[in-house]
Amino acid sequence: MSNEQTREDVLRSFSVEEDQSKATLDAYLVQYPQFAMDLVELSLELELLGVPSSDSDDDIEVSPIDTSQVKAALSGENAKGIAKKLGFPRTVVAGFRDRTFAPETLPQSLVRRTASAASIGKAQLLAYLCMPTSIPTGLSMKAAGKPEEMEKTSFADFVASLDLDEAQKARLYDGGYNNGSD
Amino acid sequence: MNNFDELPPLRKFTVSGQVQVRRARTVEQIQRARKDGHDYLVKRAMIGDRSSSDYVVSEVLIFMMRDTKKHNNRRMFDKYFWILSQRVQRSFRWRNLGGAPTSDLDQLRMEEMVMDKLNMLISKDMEGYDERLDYYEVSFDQALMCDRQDAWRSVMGKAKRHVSMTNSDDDERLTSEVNVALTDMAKDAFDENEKRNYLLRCLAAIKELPDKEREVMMYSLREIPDESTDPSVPSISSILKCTPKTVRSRRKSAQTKMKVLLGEED
Repeated sequence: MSNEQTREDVLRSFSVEEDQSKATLDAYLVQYPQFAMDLVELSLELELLGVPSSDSDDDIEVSPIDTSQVKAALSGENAKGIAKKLGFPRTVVAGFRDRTFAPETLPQSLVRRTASAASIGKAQLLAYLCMPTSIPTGLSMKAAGKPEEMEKTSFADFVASLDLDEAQKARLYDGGYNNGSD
Repeated sequence: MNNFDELPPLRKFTVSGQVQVRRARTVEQIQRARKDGHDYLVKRAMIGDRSSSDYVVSEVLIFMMRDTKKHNNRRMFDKYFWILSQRVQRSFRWRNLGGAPTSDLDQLRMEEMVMDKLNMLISKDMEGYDERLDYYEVSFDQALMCDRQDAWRSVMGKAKRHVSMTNSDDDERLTSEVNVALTDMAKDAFDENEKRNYLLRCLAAIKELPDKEREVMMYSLREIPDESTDPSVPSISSILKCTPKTVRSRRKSAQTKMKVLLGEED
């Protein structure tokens, strides 16, 4: 074993060991005494708090979501209100509405705050964002025929393309923990 | 194995220099999923009962999600991503070793840290290949537990500790129950469930101790000896770089406080 592993490598590697016996823990402790407490805590977590053998699937939204409701909550006067309330440019709200963003690139706190300002559920908004992107409303008016699916954009790339100052960028990424959940 | 069954190997190495490997159950389920197709897998992935023979383990969903890159199948990627997000969300109901965060806001922050971390790995993996996501293909739940522990530690830090007890040394002995639970877990005096619950109570009490005493008790809980002459056997004194006498002294002090915390003082 190399002793130059990072803390994350060591803990992650230990966490996915199939054999979680004391012998395995001892081997890690001897090799990585600098992470000893982390390893002991993790071993206890894995031993004592094993995942439930059976999950309820109550929380999974299997029924199709009402996209028109979410879209309406993010459009027109609602969009203006959300942008004002959260201090975002309206184009960010439009990005949500048009499902422009690759959902895995969005900060969770931004999804939560946007959902809260739009008076919709966070899970509902995430489900909406995970649907195919459609051509933005403005363009689809000019398009002939069926709208085409578009590539999704990384949220970081989208922000970089906007002419935002640091305070505006910070508002987008700030968790909103100090001023309520929205 | 035919070509159809062959899976690309993972790339992340273990600390001992071996490439990480998927568990047998994961490989079997991936092979089945490839034969059945995406849409059928997504239907099965809605089953939440882990004991069902049709239950899809999350490692498979990670594999299939990553596999969508090959065909630039954003639609399927988003479906898998959504299901995995829901599973991660559900995992926040699991108990946390350190106890529940002290406020809803801390709980929220912890959840978002876990989600953001995983999403960041998924996002980077989409751009090419992020080996760190391999851990989730080996054992999704265990990798998630690692994330939860990190997030808990980051959010709660040491703020929760509020030791106000004096360091009494009137009584050096632990009660018989504490003694059994803390120093001799190999004995089967408790039934498993009772032992587990008692351990959780002990852990909650240990978390309240001052750092140096907490460390000693945590290692004792894992049956790490105070000292060892065998280099392959870790010892508390070698880890903490102190003498065995100091270890014993800290334990004595910790035990007195724990009796109070557990309501077991004489």
